[in-house]
Amino acid sequence: MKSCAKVLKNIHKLLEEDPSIPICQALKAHLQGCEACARYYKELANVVELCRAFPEEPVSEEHKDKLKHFLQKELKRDRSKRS
Amino acid sequence: MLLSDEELVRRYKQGDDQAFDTIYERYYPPLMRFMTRMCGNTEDAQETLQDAFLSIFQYLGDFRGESSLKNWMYKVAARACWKSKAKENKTIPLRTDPRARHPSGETHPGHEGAVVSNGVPGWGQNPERGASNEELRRHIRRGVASMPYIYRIVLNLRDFEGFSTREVSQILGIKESTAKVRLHRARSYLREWLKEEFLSPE
Repeated sequence: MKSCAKVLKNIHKLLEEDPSIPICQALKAHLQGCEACARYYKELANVVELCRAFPEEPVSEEHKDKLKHFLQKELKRDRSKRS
Repeated sequence: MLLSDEELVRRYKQGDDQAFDTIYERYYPPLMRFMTRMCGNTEDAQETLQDAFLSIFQYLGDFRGESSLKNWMYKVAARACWKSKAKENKTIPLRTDPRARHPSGETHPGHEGAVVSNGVPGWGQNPERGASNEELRRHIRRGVASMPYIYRIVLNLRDFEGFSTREVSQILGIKESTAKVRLHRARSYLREWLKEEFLSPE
């Protein structure tokens, strides 16, 4: 794949598709010879890694309990309406 | 003993209150985090999550198991987001169009803009920039919250929640090819956002 514009258009396939398919092979070959596109791909791969490794943030126990009581009350009311 | 989702649904349908408790405790944390990333703030996330959970438990009795419980719950949550403030247009345009750049700074027909490519920071790799992981988390949260809704939800489901692109397309009711395009645009947006945040002068 010679054109960088074409590579940029398809580069997401390297992140999502089977690496053995022809287009991914062609993309990889281009990246080996093009520092700029290789850098761009690495940056995108970094973004994916940042999201996937994003630390789990704590949730509010107070809200969790409050919502649970609310749900139990509402569901009980629904059940009484139906019976 | 850890009960499977399928077993919990079966017991819930039989009126087992403990099943309700277990499903709720199991899914509150991930759904709350999902909602917070979608809404961009805790207050809106809590409100939207309330709507989502109410729908989930009201309709769980009719759930037929055509998908996994998890996928179905996220489908309900996504629908709640769509109806809620998560969808309100809070998009913050980037200073440059991420589609217009090539990393070398070259321009291409239809593409304008110069590029400064100094890399996207990684976790624990920023001592030279003085950026902590907390700062990075903050920038990521803001970047995700500021991108267009249709990109945000795909990124959240795929890269934060770990669904496959096929599952994302099923949850959102869109073609898989559409999910992939939006995912790429979301990642490009976030890449650009992080570069601007870390490279812009104060």
